[in-house]
Amino acid sequence: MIEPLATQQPLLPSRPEQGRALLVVLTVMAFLAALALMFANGADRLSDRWTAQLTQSSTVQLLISSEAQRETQTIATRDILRAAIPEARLTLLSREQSAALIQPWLGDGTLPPDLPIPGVIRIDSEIKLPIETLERQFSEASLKTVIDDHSRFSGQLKQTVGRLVLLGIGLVALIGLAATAVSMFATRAGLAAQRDIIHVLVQAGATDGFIAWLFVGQAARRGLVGAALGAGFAVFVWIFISVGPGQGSVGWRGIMDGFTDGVALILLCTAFAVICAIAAGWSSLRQLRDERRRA
Amino acid sequence: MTSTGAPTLDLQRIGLRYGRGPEVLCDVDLTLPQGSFTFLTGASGAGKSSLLKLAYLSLKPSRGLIHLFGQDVSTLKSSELQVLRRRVGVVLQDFRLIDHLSVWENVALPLRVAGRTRSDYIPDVNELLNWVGLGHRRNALPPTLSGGEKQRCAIARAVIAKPDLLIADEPTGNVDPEIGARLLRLFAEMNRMGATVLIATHDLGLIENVSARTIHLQDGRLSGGRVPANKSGRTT
Ligand SMILES: Nc1ncnc2c1ncn2[C@@H]1O[C@H](COP(=O)(O)OP(=O)(O)O)[C@@H](O)[C@H]1O
Ligand SMILES: [Mg+2]
Repeated sequence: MIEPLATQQPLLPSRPEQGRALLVVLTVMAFLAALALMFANGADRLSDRWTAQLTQSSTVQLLISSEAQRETQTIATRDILRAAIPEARLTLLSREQSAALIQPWLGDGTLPPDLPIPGVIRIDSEIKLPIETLERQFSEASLKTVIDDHSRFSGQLKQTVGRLVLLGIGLVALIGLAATAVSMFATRAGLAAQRDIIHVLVQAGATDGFIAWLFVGQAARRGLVGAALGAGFAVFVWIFISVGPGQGSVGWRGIMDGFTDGVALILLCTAFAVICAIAAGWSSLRQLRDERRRA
Repeated sequence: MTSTGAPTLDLQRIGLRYGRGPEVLCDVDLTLPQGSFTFLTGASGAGKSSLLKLAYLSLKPSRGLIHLFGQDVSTLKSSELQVLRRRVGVVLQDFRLIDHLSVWENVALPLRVAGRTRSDYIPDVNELLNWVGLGHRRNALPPTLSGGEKQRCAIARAVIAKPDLLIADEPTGNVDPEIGARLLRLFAEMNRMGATVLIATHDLGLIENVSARTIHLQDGRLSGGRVPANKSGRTT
């Protein structure tokens, strides 16, 4: 004979059919939430990488007054730059290289030989350019220049990515809301299905809190399993996409960060289970109170 | 809490109707002194089950006052009512066992609900199961039990927490006379240990075996509900 039950049996029966259907819903929701979270994280990381690379390289366009002046004005510009930012690496582009840069704006035809093509100097620098000082010095030397440190571009990029991240967070929040509703709905259905058992428990002296706690435990377990499965699938999909081309710091793999993403996913799973549990507790307490009022 | 000497149960001018139906119980007065043993008789449909439901707080009366263990139950919060319910053991005709729990877990339920430590009550549950002859069936699930076994399981659950009030609705309804007599001995034993017992039955043969107070319901009215102060109604 089996010794009586070292571990106690759960007071609520597991209803395999309903439980499975619910688990599928929770898993899908957790999967979507996990993807949205990794997507937001990745977009944020990618924009950081891009802007970091962009700000390392800038250009100065020199609007030369005539082709005859190209050489002297270019050298004057270079000297000012060299004095102001000695640690920067300066690259002087030839007339042909500069022309190639502006070709997209001028069309494919051959350029007239006397057209003053702006001179271009590329600056590779770890530190940020002292743009105002440079502009003052250029104008003092009567050099017409346009300094482009890509800040406008990276500003736009940051803004766009900021919105994407916000969208991702919004999606996660929406899915959390849906999980709350699903958990409340499941709890109500559970209370209705277990009406007989609840009556027995009440007659035996169980408080509302005791009964609600049963549903809290059930919802938390279910939420945790669903979240773990969903997040697991999401990680699998993410890794699957990562196999293949796309290496490098701004490639697909560049936007992954195993540790941070792992921590974020664990937090997400926990939050998911907690949300399910709170929703179950709240709705069962309310339901029990309402039923008593009706009785 | 309970004022000493107060009757276990006191019903005053109770009226009960279901929905808009007629009064099933009408002007019922009933006092059950502490430690008394009472049979409630009456034809089928007389209102016995309804009266018991009021006593074990499963129904609220349409009018009148209920004092359980000296407390006016209409003034109590739900958590306070649950504390009172834990002092009442109930055996119903349909047993109300939980199908997915073993016999052992069903019997242990009131202790579990009361928050008692499991290791503390394991011997108590085992002992009681042996006593009601279900020791060998303790891991069985209720749907696999015979009618008599279900009933013994329900009774064990009703008495495991040593209730101050034990209520049974037609406990001998579907068991053979041999088992009926054995059950009655269990109730008498509980009564000797101090529990107040109230049993609804239309089995007059059962009553003949025990000398106890008998009250009678007819057309929703109760006769014999008030007892003289010198007569406790305890079984002898
Ligand atoms: N839940 C209910 N709803 C409506 N009427 C009920 C309900 N329960 C019992 N009754 C009615 O109340 C009367 C008394 O029933 P009951 O208390 O079960 O009597 P007894 O237990 O003596 O057979 C019967 O007429 C029955 O039809
Ligand atoms: Mg009845």
